[in-house]
Parts: sequence; C-alpha cells; structure tokens
Amino acid sequence: MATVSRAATSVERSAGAPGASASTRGWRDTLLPFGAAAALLVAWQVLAWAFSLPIYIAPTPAQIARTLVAELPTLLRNFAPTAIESFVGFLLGNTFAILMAVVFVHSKRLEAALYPIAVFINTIPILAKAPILVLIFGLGMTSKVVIAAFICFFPTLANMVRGLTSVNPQSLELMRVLSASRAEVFWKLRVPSSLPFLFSALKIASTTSVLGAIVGEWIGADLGLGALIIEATHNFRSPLLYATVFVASGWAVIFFAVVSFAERRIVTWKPGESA
Amino acid sequence: MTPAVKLEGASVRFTSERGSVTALEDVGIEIPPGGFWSLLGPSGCGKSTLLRLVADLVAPTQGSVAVLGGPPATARVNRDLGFVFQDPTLLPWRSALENVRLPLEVGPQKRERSAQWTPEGLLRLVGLAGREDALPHELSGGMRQRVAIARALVSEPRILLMDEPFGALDEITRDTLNEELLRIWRQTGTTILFVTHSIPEAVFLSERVLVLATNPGRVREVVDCRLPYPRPLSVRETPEFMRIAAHLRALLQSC
Repeated sequence: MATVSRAATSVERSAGAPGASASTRGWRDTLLPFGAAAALLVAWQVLAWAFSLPIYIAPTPAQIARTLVAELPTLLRNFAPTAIESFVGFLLGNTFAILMAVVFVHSKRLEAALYPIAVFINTIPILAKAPILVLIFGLGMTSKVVIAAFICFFPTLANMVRGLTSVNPQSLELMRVLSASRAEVFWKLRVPSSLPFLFSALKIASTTSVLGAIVGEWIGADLGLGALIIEATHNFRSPLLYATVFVASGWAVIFFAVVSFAERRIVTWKPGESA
Repeated sequence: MTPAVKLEGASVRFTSERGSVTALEDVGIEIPPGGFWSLLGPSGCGKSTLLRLVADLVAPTQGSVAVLGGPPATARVNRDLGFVFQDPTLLPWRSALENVRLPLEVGPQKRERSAQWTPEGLLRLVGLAGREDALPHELSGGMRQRVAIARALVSEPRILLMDEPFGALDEITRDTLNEELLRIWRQTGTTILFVTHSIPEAVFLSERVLVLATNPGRVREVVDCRLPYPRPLSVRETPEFMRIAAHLRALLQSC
C-alpha cells in the first residue's frame, strides 16, 4: 500500500513539470514502485524455495495467487460486507465530522465544550472502542459501520476545523468591504479554503475506514474480510489469509486512489498560497 | 459640492491589555470628488488606519468620518468604495475573471450598476485580455495586482482606496502600473486615496499629498503637486517634480 501512495505523489509531482523529458520521467517514477514490488515478490518466491519453508508459515506468491483464483467466490462473498461497511462508515463518519466542524466554527462555546470530548474519545485505541460498540450495536453490519465511522471522524474533524478557520485575514477584510453576508463568507471563502485540508483527511479516512471495518469484524462477524482473516489464521490456511489481506489492501488502495483522483480534479489551485 | 471624504477631529485609539495606542489624532481633511490624494508618512503614522477609517474597517474613537456625505457604512453597503490591499488577496481557486466578478456575487447590492465596466472589459483595461481563465498562481505578482484593481473597479466605486498596492512589486512593474492607474483614474473619474511610503510615487500620481507624522499619527502638511496631467514618466526629471519631492523628503525627516 505504501508503494502505491508513493506512486500517487510522484504523479502529482511530475504533473506540474512541463516538457517531454519531464513526462517520460513521470512515467518512469510511476513504473518504479511496480518494478520494485515485482522484484520483492520474485525474491520472496526464491527464498521460500531455497529454505523450503512450510506453507503454513510463509506461502509463496505463486501459492497465494492460486488461492486467490481458487477461493475467489469465498473472497468476494466476504469482500462485499467489508466494502459496504467501510464505504458507509466513511460517508457517515466524514459527514458527521464536517457538520460538527461547521458547528464549531460558528460557535466557539460549543467547540470549547465538545472538542476536548472528541479528543478524549479519539485517544481510546480502536481495539478498545470496537468491543464496546459491538456490545451497543450488535453483531450485524451496523456495529462495523459505526466503528469505521469513528475511525474516520477525528482526523476529518480536526482538519476541517483548521481548514475552515485558516482563512487569510485579508480575504475576510475584503469580504467585509464587499459587505458580504456570513453565509456568503462561508460558501465563497471558508468552504473553498478548507477543501485542501478536507482532502488530506479524506485520504487518511479512505484507508482507515477499511481498517475499522476489519477490526469490527474481528470482534464478531459471520461474514467479512475480517472474519475470514480470523478463520484462516485459526485453521492454518496461510495462503487464504494472505489472499484475504491482499484483497483488503487492494480495496483500501482503490478507495485511496478514487479520493486522490477526486482531489486532483477539485483542488486545481496551489493550496497554502496567499495570492 | 459634497466632499467625497470628510474627516473632522477624527481620532483612533487601539486599546489592548498592554495599554492604549493612539493611531490617529485629531485628523481633519476634506477630499473633493474626483481627487487623487496620497497619504505619505513613516511606518506607524496611521496612514493605513486612515484608509480603514474611510472603508469602515475601523471606527473612530472620537470625531466624525463622512463618506459622500453619509456614514462610511452606507457607502460600503452601496458599493461606493473599492479597496485594493497591499497583497492582491485573490481567491486562489477562482480564475482572473471569476475574481473580478466576486463583488457582483456578494453583498446586498449584487447586480451590476450600469454595466459601463464589465468584468471582461476591466481585465482589458488593466491589460490582461486573454488571461481571463488563468488561476492566480499562474500569474505574475504585477498581473495579480492588476486583477485586484479590476476587481475593485467592477462595482464602479466612487472612491477607490489603495493601501500600498504596488509596495511589493519591482520598480519597472511599479512604473507601468503607476501610469496605468493614472489612465484609469482619468477614464473613470473615481476619487482615489492612495497610501504609499514612496515619495516619487506620491508626487508622480497625486494632485495632493497628505503628509502624516508619527506618535501619535497626525496630519503634518498637505502638499500640492502642481504638475499638469497627463504625466509621462519623464515628469520625474523636471525641476518642479524634484522641488516637491525634496520638500516632502525634508518634511518626512522632521516627522
């Protein structure tokens, strides 16, 4: 996953540089992590052969690939709930965080009252929060959605509050000279200024929401990638475990890529520049 | 004729925990409509505060401020005021044209007045035809400031307030924009109040220079610049120009 996020940033970096040589360099930067990943896979395969490691300790990439194909129906059946939980949790957690940030920006008193509580809840490790939420919301998908939402909530809240308040003071004076209403200042100034901050948070949330859903499924679920990870581990089905992890990461990477794509389409200016 | 700006005994005092500072004391001036006045003085003399007083960004603690015969707030709401800051203060997500349009989209007086100046026409006026769709980060510092001037003019203000608008630009760009500003002033007939700490800039542009002294900020002298318009850049080499500039320099040194 780290390799893909690096690939995304190198695309961003090369996108601004003009000229043909820069664009070929951009392609090379994009292909580089794929090459590195392929080399690692080959090394892994060779080492597993050389030391003839037992399959339940470390399956080879080839074995994992075979399992991925053979167990595809199982994997997909377990993928669906995790995907839904993480996606709905992402929407719910971020929507709630954005709304709360808007409330905080308009009421310093509410911010002073509630922000410390939000910080406190955020300090509870997700592994400790998850069982509590499962007790409250039951063993169904709801509890996983709530856990995924929780994990998205705080980074987005913190970033969004910062984004909405970090408006250039001179822009605010400009709006006053123009006799702009509070709502106009909010929609025309605060919201656009906050978008780069929001997208940093959404990129974090896109991968952590998957994590939240899986952790929730560990506590108790019949179906889902998290449940499959537990089951495969207990039955020493290592290739299936690795294949499940691969699917989970793949989903998180796609999620991240979609959010990054949206960011590049929407945030076309250079953030942080006081033009 | 109602003066564009009239201050009577206007004082501004800023109070904080560490005591109070008198930014302006007992300022009385009367600027006729269509005039081009500069405010010149050392830093901390309250020239920006004076501009903010007129723009209704600061209220006087004593005395009165009248803009076009009424309170500054009325002039602000009626869109009689245009303000150009030292930084262009463009919204980075809006194109040049969209930035110029901003004043038409906000506030109680949204609609264009007589459409004498369209946003497109203003961008042409400031020499940015063809760059309508450029984002601020794609423009140079001088171009951004031109966009800011076009934006200040779009609501056809009767008074244009400029707070060291060219202070951050290089000298060549500054000269060009000074000439353009005079051309725009003569075309629009707007009253201009221009803050600067450059003596040549003040003499080149204005009909009158208001010299402010510091501690507390107060009017030192009002100096006439009797140089005929249109003024080419070469006016700066004439003896009269140099005489006025020398007089201003002497005044500033004694402030």
